Amino acid sequence: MISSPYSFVFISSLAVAAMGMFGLLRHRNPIRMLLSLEVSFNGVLLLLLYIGWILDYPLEGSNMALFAIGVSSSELALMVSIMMAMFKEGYLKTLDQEELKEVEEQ
Amino acid sequence: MKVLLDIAIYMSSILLMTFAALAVSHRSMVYSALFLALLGLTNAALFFAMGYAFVAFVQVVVYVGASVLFLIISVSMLKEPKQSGISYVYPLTGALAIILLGLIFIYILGSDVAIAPHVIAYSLMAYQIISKGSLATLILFLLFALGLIMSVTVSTRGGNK
Repeated sequence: MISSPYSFVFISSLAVAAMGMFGLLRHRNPIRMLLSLEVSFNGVLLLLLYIGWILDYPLEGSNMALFAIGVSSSELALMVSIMMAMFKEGYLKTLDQEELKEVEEQ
Repeated sequence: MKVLLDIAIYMSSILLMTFAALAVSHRSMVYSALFLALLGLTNAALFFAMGYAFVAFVQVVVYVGASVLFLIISVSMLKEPKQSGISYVYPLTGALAIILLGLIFIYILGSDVAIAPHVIAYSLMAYQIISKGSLATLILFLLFALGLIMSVTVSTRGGNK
């Protein structure tokens, strides 16, 4: 299966998605979690285009990828804006989720 | 040339995994965002190699150009603990970025050798979006507008507690 270089692209896209999920589970900082989610998104986007290419639907795959890129970029902008505004206004003293839980419990 | 292109695709895939690992594991958030930008660029190079030239263009302009830069600027406003020891980030990032540039150059040189099995016409893409996905496009446009308004409102909300 790994004989073709494009099959290696498939494996690497899966690996990148898995690394992103690992980062999402490992980190406690919400911005870091968002960053890991974006890493995972990149892997999944490559996988989407690869599947569209393999199944001979390149047009549909590229259109879906365009939509996904647009939604992801607006979601990233919105999430970071909310996070920074909360941090700036003092609602968040820290960006660490465990410390946030402790503050809420107090 | 074909062998060179195959090697370039293998190297791009390895580079993609390296950037993903660095983005997830680096201590500094700013450098993580920088590696995310490089990951997006490598992804765009692979899209180009697979024949999705327009998606690669959108990925570079919209995703890497706008989103990740916004993320880097926002995150760099946070105070970070100073890192001790010798920083390996600059030489490593420089070397990897030069390799990436070389790979992109190989892809552009080899684009005449038909590396991409599919060549997607933009007119067909636009036709399909208009004919089959008009409602989805409308909803997406409204979502973008709403997201933009919300981002600007939230970001410009001043006053320190």
